[in-house]
Amino acid sequence: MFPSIAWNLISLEVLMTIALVGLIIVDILSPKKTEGNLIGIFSLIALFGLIGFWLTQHDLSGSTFGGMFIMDSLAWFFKGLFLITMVFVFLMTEQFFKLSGKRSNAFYFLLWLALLGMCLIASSADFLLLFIAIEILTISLYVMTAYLKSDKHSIEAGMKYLILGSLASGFFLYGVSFLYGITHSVRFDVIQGFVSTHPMTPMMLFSLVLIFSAVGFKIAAVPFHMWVPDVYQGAPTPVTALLAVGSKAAGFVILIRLFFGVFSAWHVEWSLVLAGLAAITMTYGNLVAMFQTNIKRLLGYSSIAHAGYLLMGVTAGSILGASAINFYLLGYLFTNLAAFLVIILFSIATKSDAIEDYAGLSRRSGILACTLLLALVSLAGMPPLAGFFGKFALLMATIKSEFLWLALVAAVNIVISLYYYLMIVKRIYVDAPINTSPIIVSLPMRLALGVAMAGIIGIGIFQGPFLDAAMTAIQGMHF
Amino acid sequence: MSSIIFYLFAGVLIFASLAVVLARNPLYNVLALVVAIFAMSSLFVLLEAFFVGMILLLVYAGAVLVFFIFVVMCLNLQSDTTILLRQDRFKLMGWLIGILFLLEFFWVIKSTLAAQTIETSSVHGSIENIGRILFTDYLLPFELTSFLLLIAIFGIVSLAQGAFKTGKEGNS
Repeated sequence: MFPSIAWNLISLEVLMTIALVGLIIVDILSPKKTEGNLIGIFSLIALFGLIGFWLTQHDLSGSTFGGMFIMDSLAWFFKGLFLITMVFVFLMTEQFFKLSGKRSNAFYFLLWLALLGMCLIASSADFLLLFIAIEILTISLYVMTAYLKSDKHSIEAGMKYLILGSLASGFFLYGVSFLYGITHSVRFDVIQGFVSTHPMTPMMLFSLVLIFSAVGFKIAAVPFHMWVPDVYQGAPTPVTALLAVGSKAAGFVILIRLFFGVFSAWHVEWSLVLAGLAAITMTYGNLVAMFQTNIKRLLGYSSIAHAGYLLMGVTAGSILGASAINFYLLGYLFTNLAAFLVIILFSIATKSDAIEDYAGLSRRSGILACTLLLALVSLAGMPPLAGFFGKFALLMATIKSEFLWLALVAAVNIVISLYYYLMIVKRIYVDAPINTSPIIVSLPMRLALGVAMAGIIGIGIFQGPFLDAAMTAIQGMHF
Repeated sequence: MSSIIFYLFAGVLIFASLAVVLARNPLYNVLALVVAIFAMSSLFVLLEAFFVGMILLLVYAGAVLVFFIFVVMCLNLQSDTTILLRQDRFKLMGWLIGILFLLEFFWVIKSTLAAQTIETSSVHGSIENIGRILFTDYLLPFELTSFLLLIAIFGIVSLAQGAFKTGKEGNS
């Protein structure tokens, strides 16, 4: 029988597709030598329209396509995260074209497809749909990572990401095939029903490990982190930002759905393993980050460390833990995007990503220095910024779930991370600049930097509404 | 009877897969993969999944891998690049992980077979059945694969566009 489709639940994705097709048509019809960047401007307008539409979907809840596609508060929350991330990524792309000197509209289309993939991941309630959604996201990221064809770092990054990513996809499918063999279904609700009535078998454990390794690859958890430093360094900066924020958030929405929903009945069995992974991940990321000389590579290792902090929330396994993840990701979004905005604006002016070139940035551009200061200090977790309260919530959730040792490891790690974040701050504000020519920042970019800074400070000071939003997202989730 | 055929093709599959990884000449790697896929499609036919078996044979062994062979023959793979790939530490790590994985897998299968028998599905994998499921229950994932093709087109066009140009510049 043909299933009936509730179009209002999937309308955001449908509108996204229409926007993409519309942009492709505009690209084909517009004359070859158009002044300015038509597709970029239209993309931003369409994105703001979609954000407006997303706001109206607040109370939407239900499932369609035979329970395969769900729209609940969790999906709504994460779709918002992805849309806001994309606004910044589009702005960065515009700057990136200025840097590389060559416009390419296909880059925008790939970004749109990545956005579509992320939104579908947030709404998947079926392993098959989840797989297709992950592939839509990852394959467009492979292409975008290798986009700078003349730069051998970019090609190397793309190749590494492609090979390791395909391996992760293979693991995911292998795990799902075992799951299908045991439960005769790939649907989340059926598997959840099976899990709540059966004890853990070795085969189930095996398939869970395989699926977790694939998702661990997405969130950059040790030992699936090998690709991170090279890819973060080699990829074009907008893609690095998308990887650091969007792709990581997409990984965590899968983890929340799987470990707080589908497999929640087995919480005790996997919590110790996750705790160990979280501890190793954050320690590794922070220790190696200390010795980096390239700022994108440093943020790559810092992103591994942050995956470790976020895994603490999964370990906790409580509603508090899951909402702490959501809140942390919200703060992390503004913090990281602010840092990457500064990196791309700085690299346009100086053609460099080396940390030593950031010396004396405060005397060359006040706003860049100030934004980078706020972003780094927030990543380190200083009050009253967004990063502080996020870390606080995660630590609270961990302690309440009686993983005191893990919270202690995290506290030590936060102190270690202070060292390398503050080293950069020192370089920006104390060291004498090598080149004193001022860096000019255009008005739209000033606005974007301002919004990012407002996000970092606003979420840190007025945590209430944001924490409520994070909490509601978890309480209203179907899986 | 069918179990003899199963063990025959399963054995061929294992040997061919080993050859894919271990053969020294890239051409033999690809040819071994053709054999492996042939054996795999036979196993699918034994499971009465005729459509999947045929598609595997036609698309992979027939089209994709023959294309692979062309590519391998066009590239000059006897150069330094292949030697660089044979680094010993990766080899050791690969063997270790592979053996660990295999042992884990044996343990899983053994414990599961002792506990329960896995039932087979009563639905036959005919084209009609697969088509029906694809266009009703799994309509959304099926339609979404079109986006994967779209990404592939954008990817190939944008990655290959400048490649020929830089090649020319390098020559001149």
